[in-house]
Amino acid sequence: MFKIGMLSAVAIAGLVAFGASAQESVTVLGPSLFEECSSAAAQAQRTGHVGVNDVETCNAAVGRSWSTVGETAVAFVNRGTLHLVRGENDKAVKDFSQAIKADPTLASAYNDRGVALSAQHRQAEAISDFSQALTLKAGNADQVYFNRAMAYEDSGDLKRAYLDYRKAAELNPGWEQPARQLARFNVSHTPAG
Amino acid sequence: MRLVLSAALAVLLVSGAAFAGEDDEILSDLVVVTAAPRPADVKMVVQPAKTAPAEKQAKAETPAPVQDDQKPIKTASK
Repeated sequence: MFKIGMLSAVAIAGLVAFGASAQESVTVLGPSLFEECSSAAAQAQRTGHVGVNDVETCNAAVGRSWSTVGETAVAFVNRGTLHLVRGENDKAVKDFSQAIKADPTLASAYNDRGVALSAQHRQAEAISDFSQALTLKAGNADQVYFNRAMAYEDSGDLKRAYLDYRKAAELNPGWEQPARQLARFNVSHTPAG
Repeated sequence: MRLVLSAALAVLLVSGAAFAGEDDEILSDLVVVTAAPRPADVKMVVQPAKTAPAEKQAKAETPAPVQDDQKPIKTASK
């Protein structure tokens, strides 16, 4: 009886150990395909360089059939970012549009499509996208205002460009770029009355 | 009670109108005379999206957060 009890205890201990190692094996699998795609886009955005397998990683993320709508939208944004860094603006616009189609509330997709459209000299559409990103309460609104300021400036609307640079500077006083741009402007006010 | 509510509503309407007209006022008051050319190295900021936690992905309602250490990238014009 004692032996049977001991054998059971050893068997249970073995199962527990197996369970623990199985749990650990899940942990060491590393980031998911979507996280890899996201990291690749962030890295490309920081360095201005797209890695050899980055687009393929994001292709796989975009094409995964069992992903959620949110995952697909984010994967499109990140693949679009890779295209944008490569200067492939047409492909970037298409990916950001797919992201918006999948998730119309994804503010970063509007911001990024605005950047791609602006690179194509389509400033009116770019301004519309930046405005939509702000309406959707985009994270880092200072960056969106900065982008819209550049689009306004490129479209010849210096007054609105100035106001958006000023708004970006107000939202993020520690960011020197808006202040630098404001210094280029020579502004006056109409006398009161 | 009705009087108080009406007064509160009037205050809200007036302040709302004032807020809505603020931008227009700034625009009409402001005259940008000139702007020096923008340096070529000033670039727009791209916001890559982070993969959201599973429960948020299902709802797809929350815009993905953006990292603070983002820097402008070079985008090629066509």
